[in-house]
Amino acid sequence: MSLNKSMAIKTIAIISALAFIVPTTSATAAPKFKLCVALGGIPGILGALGTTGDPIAKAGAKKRGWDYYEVSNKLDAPTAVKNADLIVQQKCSALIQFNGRPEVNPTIAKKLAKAKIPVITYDIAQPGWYFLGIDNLAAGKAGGAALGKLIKEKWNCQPDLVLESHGYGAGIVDAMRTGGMVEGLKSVCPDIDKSKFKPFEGNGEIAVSQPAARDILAANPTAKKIAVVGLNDAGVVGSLLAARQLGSGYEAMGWGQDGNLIAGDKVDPDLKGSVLYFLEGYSAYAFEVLDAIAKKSAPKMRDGAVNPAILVKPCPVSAAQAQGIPVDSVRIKKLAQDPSKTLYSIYCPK
Amino acid sequence: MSKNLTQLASHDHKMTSVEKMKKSLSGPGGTIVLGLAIIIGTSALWVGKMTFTSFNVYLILSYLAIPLIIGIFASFSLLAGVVDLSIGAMVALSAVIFAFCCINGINEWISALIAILICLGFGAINGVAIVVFGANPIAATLGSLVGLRGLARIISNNAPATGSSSTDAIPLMVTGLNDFTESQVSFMPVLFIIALALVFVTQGIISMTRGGRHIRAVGGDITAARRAGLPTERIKFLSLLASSFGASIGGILYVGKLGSAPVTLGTNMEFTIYAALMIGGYSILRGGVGNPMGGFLGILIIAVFANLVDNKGLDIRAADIFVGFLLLVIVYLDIRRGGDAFE
Amino acid sequence: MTHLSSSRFKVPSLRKSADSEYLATILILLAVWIFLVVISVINRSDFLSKATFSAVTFNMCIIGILAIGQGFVVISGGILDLSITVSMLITSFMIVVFYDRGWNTPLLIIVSILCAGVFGLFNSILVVWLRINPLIVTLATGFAGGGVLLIVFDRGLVDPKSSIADFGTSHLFGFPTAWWPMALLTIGAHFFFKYSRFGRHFLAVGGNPLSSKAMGISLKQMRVATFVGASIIGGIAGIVFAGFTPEIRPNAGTYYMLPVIAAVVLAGFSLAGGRGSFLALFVSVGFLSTIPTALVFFGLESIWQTFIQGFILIIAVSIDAYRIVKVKGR
Repeated sequence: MSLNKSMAIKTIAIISALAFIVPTTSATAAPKFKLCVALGGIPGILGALGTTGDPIAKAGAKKRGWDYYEVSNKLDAPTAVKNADLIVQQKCSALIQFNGRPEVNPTIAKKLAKAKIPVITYDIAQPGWYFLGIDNLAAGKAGGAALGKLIKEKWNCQPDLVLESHGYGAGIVDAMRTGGMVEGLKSVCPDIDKSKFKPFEGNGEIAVSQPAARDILAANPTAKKIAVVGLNDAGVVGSLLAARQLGSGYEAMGWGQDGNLIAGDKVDPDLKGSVLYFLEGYSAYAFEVLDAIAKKSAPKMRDGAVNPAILVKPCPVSAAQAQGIPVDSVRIKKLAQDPSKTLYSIYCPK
Repeated sequence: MSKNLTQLASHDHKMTSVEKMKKSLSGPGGTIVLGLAIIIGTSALWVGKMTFTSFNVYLILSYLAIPLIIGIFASFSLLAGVVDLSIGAMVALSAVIFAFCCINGINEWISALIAILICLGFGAINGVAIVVFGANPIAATLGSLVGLRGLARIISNNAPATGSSSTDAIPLMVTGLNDFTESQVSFMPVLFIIALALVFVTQGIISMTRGGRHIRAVGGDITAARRAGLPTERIKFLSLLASSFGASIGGILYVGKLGSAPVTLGTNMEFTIYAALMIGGYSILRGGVGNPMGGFLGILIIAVFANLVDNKGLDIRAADIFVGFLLLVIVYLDIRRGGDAFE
Repeated sequence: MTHLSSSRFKVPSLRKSADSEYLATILILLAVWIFLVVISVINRSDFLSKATFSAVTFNMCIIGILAIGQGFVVISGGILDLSITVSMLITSFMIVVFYDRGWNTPLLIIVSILCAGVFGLFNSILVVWLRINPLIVTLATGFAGGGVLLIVFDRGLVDPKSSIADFGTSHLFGFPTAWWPMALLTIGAHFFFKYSRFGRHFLAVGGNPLSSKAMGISLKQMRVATFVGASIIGGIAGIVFAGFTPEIRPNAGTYYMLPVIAAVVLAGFSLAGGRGSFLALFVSVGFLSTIPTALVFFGLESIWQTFIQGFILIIAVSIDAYRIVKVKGR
């Protein structure tokens, strides 16, 4: 097995070579401000800011003459933790964090705190990180209440079934959004029986929520008036489609979250509305905090959804109101043209 | 196949040292080392001196250590010709069981023992299906993959909620374990030193001991091995236990490293680890080929490339495309050198 | 996996005994399926309803088509096509692209499926001319293909007013419209492999490539046909997928790969090639598609589904392997 031996020797040689080349000094005269961004990753469960990167943050950094560095958390816990080490290695001055696996945020926070890197977190609160985003619970309640009004109007607050399309992978975000929608619905129609609520794993994706919703509908054959709430538009639309697939006897109404499938001209007819967050434009708000950090006058820490550094207003829209709003890829181009505005001010109907 | 095996064996005995050098330069190991040199060179020119800082080296080695430990144990089953697709799910299951026990107040060491034993139990189920009933390894361990992922989710959903915890993970900072997974000697992560030691020890076992020869024989040509009176069934069974043991250790270490037990842990890991091992000279189609050093190099080259992608902030899927491409190139070059071609 | 390769050199068993073996597999699967239905009915008498029937038949549509593509590869000795969901997604995305350009429906469907065929051609080139094992080729192109799809497409939106979307929700002759492609492909595959000369060539190169080569069948042509064919069948699944899924995401393929392989294995296809019945595959898909619906009737949360499905698969392949060993002797 000499073959392996020589391979082993070569490997050791490479590793030890790496060790010896290690430079002892790293001269950094007048360090430039470096903005770093760690995005959500694989699209789907948390909507936009998936693979396309964050053009608004990038453009803003360029305008200010800052260095810019971007990685993806890939919706994967080990990757998100590894990225924290990369951020430290890059000597970032500040980090925008959007992590779809919030359960590892404490570990990440520990690493970043040690390197004294300030963090702005989108939508997912973490002690010691500036919170920027919507109040998920408030957005959930707003959507639920809007659906509740429709149910009161059309079904006299008596739906046969309320499908809750959860995305348990999003953790606390799911609990607040989907749970918030149930609360909002009950605030309008308090007398819906507990047994009518059917929670299930829809993973925030049509390919998962659709078959799961079909099976639940089959197991409740007398239910015909179906209300749908969920983590995001995709999870809701999948369930609405399930009702349409099972036949003409069904009447379904859904209200989404995140507004991914309510904008543009390809909107499901049963999706009665959604709550737009304009997540793709969050970075336009972030520069308020970032500029202060760059001037060494970091604002006071406000790290919770109830005590946020910057609160983004959720924009609940009915399908009719959303008709003029284009899809996210168009919106972001519009915002890049005029970064002083926010997407809420441009697009949210008054 | 048996011809190949005898060829391999005769090479060991008859090659002169010059031939050995040539062979090692042109073998899969040589290709990988060359590839590593190219990537590191590219990184040096493109990323700059950050490539060689002790922190960057630490970073690469620290994050490849756990997959390496899992991969080395899984390589036993590849070598014995019984591919185990359930390792990724087993990693998640072990992490979730370990965290579940800890959070219910069981001593950490006992929790780890429980996680390992349960995983070994499921490894034994794989073994019974494959060895006793003669089920196809791909099919049987695919079943385990699906089933164990489900089981991990069931346990995770029934875990007691702690504070702002999500339903999808059991948050748990086992401080001692976390410190251990983060500790280092100079720029070398302790976990990596352990993994590397494991590589050398298993390399020794595989290439020098009788047991190692027996495993290769069972994977290479089971009829011949059976005729030679080897306990083929027992060897296959033990190799499956080894792979589930490695996965359970990996899961526990991940809990330390991540500070929680995400139920999604190890998703697709069976594919990424086996792709790396195949780049390093193993085969999931037949046993008897490959060695731990090669497996280590396969995992290393992917980690080094991923580091280049990370440091440059390139598109996240570049690494996946690279793995696919590299796998094809390495296997093709192996075929050109007289390796196992398809038809 | 030596027993896979070595069994290739065995003389193929007589057709009659093969037929009876398939029949046995079909009957066992049917018995298990009926057992599942019976205990579900005992549990809740309203299990046998139109809604259940719809739910199960909808569950079958995509997995069924992909399983036929996968079965085609397996039976022809191509081992497995681990990139078949990439073929599906290529077609789905291309449908959206061409629809947005205003193409008419039949044309855009044909061209989209051909795009998947081109991907299959790429696979087969790597298999035939570079002589890389198909499992490795498709593992690699599956990895790389998923990455490319994510970079090129990100997401695709299907118009709910389009005929593709109608196709995904409508019914025809009491079944979901999207169920029929799978049913027709099943019947087509059954007759193709049983009675056509070309089909028997696939079986021959799957069961014993060396002797078929000696008989004058071109292995290369057969391999190209296998992988292009599988990708085209994957492409047909892509039409159904586009009909079901108004928002197409590149990572959606992960939900189908494992159930598809499970269906093929459960149907008794030998991964060594040359053995398998598409009628059994139909029953196996039907059985696997009934499990999730039945579990909901039992009041089990959806998280129990994967656990139970996984262990049914292990038990089934163990019993199947044991049965074959008993019949043939060691």
